[in-house]
Amino acid sequence: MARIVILGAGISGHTAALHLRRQLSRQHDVVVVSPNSKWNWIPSNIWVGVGKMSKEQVTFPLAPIYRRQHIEFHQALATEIHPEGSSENPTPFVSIRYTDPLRESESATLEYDYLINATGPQLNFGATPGLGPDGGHTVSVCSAAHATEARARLDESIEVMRQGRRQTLVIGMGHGTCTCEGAAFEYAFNVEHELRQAGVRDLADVVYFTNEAELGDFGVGGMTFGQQGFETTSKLWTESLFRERGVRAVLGAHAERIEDGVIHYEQLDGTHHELAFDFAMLLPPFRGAGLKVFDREGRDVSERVFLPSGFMRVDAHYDAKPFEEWRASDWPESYESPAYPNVFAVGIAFAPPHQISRPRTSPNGTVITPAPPRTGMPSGVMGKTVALTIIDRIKMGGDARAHHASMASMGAACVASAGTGLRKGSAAAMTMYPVVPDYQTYPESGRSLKDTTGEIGLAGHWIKFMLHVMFIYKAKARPLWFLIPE
Amino acid sequence: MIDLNADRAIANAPLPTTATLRRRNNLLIQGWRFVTLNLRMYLMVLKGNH
Ligand SMILES: Cc1cc2nc3c(=O)[nH]c(=O)nc-3n(C[C@H](O)[C@H](O)[C@H](O)COP(=O)(O)OP(=O)(O)OC[C@H]3O[C@@H](n4cnc5c(N)ncnc54)[C@H](O)[C@@H]3O)c2cc1C
Repeated sequence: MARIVILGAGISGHTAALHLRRQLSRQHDVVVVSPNSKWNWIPSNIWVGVGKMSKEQVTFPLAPIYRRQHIEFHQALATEIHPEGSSENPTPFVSIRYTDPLRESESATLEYDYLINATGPQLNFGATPGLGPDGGHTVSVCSAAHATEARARLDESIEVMRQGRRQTLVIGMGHGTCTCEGAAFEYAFNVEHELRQAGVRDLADVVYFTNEAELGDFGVGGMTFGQQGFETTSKLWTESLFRERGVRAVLGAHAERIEDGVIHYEQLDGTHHELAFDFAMLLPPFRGAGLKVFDREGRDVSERVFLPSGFMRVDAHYDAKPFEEWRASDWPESYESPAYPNVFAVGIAFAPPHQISRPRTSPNGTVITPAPPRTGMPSGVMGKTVALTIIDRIKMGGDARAHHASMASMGAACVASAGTGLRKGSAAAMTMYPVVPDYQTYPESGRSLKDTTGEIGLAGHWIKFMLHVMFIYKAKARPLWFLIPE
Repeated sequence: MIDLNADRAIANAPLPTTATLRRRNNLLIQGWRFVTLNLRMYLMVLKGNH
């Protein structure tokens, strides 16, 4: 009998749990630890943030699904990993602290044979003074609750415009090292769409505030598309959309601090500026979950397992080297911890070897570069891949070869909503292959020109909505859920 | 040297023609795009799952 503990019930952890349970007999335990009682389809938070969906439409309670699937669920926060067990008992275990209101402030330990760290990002609002909804001056759409608050503040702004007063709405990144530019881009264009629907567009200045050095970078170094016999770039394509919709942009920006109504920022050329706002949705930079690791004697060995950023070391090549020497093969394939092979990290929880976008620093030494995005599709694929490795090792023995899924040989589809509505909606639908450019295989642009595409239109909106319905169906483990690809 | 002047870049970007804007909202064309985009995404998933 084997016991698999999964920390985190987000896109990657929940996917891993469902696949493990489906393919392992009931004599094996699949255990999920996650602090929230609900699952959230995070991509649709954008629509909650503009009032087109309710919090309830993008979340559902996990406990009934796990009960039906015979998955043990602890609504708790994992705090420590003891991969060597303790001096009395060599069985590895994790320490957890319950967030379940019925067991609040209780602690427990859970033994494991295999551990999957799928704890995603810790939203590091503290990195920029004044950032974020809790005591700061900006809103966020990172959780359904945040997005609900963002919507209320947006409505207030729209109300002010209805009374004839101009408003500046700033949407983007709250720090020079943020990731998820695609999400901020989507929110900016959804807000712009809402302003038009509300009949107040002419009274609004919409500004996209980003750490990207160029529009269309999206944290993946931009994309080159093959279109009608020509090569075109995501830069030109994105700039065109900004022009069409009258959205301004501030590029290469690091928010240094935020006061009530003012963002103080530095740009890549080292100059400092201020940007006044009435409404601001700025995403935070991400950190790892901050789990501590202890050896058998109880010594803190966290730095053997995690990088200082809190993300977990896996089978990637972490040696520092210049951009020109970055290789697709630097990226991990099996997501195993080199320190403890029965421990894996998937989704945002694994430490990437470096950025994907070219790293840039201002003359003052401030790093202003998007961190590499680990979007939903690769996160789900990693969750499934690690689940398959564990299943093989349980069924065929611990030496079974690991399944592989490198972001350098995996594609991604990014459908960035640019407005809702079955007839009036629109989205920028992009596909790229591979996610991490591979200049050895694709010398021209690092990616396949055939498979890297972008188009704008109503079809993209339908796809985004279809993905919402499909992934919630899948996450609820409804009949034949496993036929829906990650 | 990168150009941080986004206003200039945006002002110089090509605008879609009226025909392109119409195509982006035409139900027939978009229905077809919906099918092909889904297929493309599905093939991409298959390509990544080797
Ligand atoms: C606003 C927004 C929009 C986005 N839109 C898109 C999109 O359109 N398409 C796309 O592909 N991607 C999108 N993304 C990215 C996508 O949401 C992430 O790639 C994905 O959620 C990552 O999955 P994950 O499992 O690593 O992390 P998450 O889904 O964040 O899950 C992490 C889980 O771990 C739990 N956890 C945290 N700490 C602990 C702990 N100590 N112990 C136990 N559990 C813990 C959390 O509660 C959560 O359940 C978007 C992201 C944002 C913020």
